[in-house]
Amino acid sequence: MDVTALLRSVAAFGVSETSVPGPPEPLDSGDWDELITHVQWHRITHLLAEAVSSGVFPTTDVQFAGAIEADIVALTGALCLEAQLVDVAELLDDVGISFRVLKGPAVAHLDYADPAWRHFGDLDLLIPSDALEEAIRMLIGLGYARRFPQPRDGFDRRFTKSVSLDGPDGQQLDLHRTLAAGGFGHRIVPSMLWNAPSSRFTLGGRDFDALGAEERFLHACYHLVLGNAPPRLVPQRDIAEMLHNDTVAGDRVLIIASAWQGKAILARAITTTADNLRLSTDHPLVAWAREFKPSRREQRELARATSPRYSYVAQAIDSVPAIHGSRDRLAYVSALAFPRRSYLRGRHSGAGARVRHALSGALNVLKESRD
Amino acid sequence: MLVRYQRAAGAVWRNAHGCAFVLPQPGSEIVVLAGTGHDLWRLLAEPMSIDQVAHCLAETYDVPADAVTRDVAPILDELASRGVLDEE
Repeated sequence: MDVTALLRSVAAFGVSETSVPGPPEPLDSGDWDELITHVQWHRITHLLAEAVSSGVFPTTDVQFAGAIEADIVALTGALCLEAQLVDVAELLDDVGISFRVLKGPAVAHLDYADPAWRHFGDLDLLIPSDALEEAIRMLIGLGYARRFPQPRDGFDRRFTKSVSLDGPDGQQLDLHRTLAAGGFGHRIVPSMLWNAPSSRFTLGGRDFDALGAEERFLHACYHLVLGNAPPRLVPQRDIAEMLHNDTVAGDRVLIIASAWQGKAILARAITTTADNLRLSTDHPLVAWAREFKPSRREQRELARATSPRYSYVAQAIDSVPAIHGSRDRLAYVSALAFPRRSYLRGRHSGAGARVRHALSGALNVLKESRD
Repeated sequence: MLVRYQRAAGAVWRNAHGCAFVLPQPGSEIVVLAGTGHDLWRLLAEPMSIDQVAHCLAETYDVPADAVTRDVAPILDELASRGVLDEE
């Protein structure tokens, strides 16, 4: 069984203009179990359920029931997270903290014809940098717990990508300052996310603001390229839906990507999606991505950032040159080189790693300062 | 006073596999509406009285409206008591 090919067939179901067939006959039970495990990890259980219901993916009766059951489990999880989102939104409203809904719920309601087709496993909210600490404090007061402490006071507000919180019932909530980590992430301009017109959707009797269509598209691209190794298929499906619906203005996407120095990310995400899901859309962004040639610097940084061995330390080192201003760079390096003791528990706690990190970061700071 | 029913404003839900999966509020149980229950959920995107609901279902299933009213009234009450529907 070629599990990768089957997973891509499932992820492309209903959006690929070319017919992507399932297996010629039902898989044996071992292969099926393996497939279901991967489908759940990629969060495409509804796509599998639709594929088996339509008959393009043949199954035994037991496998058919298993596909539907896996989908209902994922659907139930998404509903619980949406209810949590309504709760958290009220809390943030009460203290006057604005936010934008990112990824799962926003994409499900704005970019898919039916939100049932898009599952998600956590909540992600973009919070203004200057309100991040207050939002964290408030949620901790209500029983949420940080997964990791910040290395030094003020680090979240100035440098972090996001802060992960575990809710009282075990649900995960990520509060984002920006959309990605590492050098590519630090070159994203958060104010552009707030100044752009938002998209709006209704859930649980209230309206929610999400990123605008182009910013949402770029976030899906960054998430695909930098988010998981190996990359999940669900952001590829998100990108395919947005291209397929033609809701994304290509020229505006390119302007934003250029401002963020993220064209290499954008091109990689689009070509990966178009190849894996066999898209035959004539959206101009696909043609642009196929023609795009990244610079040598972009190629090197992209190769590092997408390597399975891309460590937290390497990510921090790539971040240094992307941080504006020598003072901020030094503050970033010193926070990671000499963090609070609590921050080191469970992280790169070896003295060697920390010293290497600090030295490399400092060298980069000096190099950038000279440049 | 004429009671009208509508989907609970605070509920989150999905349509899938011929059913509506409705979570009335955080921490409550998910209610699965199939068959006529799913029809009710679709109808009650807008507020409707029992008579209006019965009329719509009677047309759909080609049965007398009186009989549908008798059948549907306790279901609407039950769904309202579980927070799936709002009454006004």
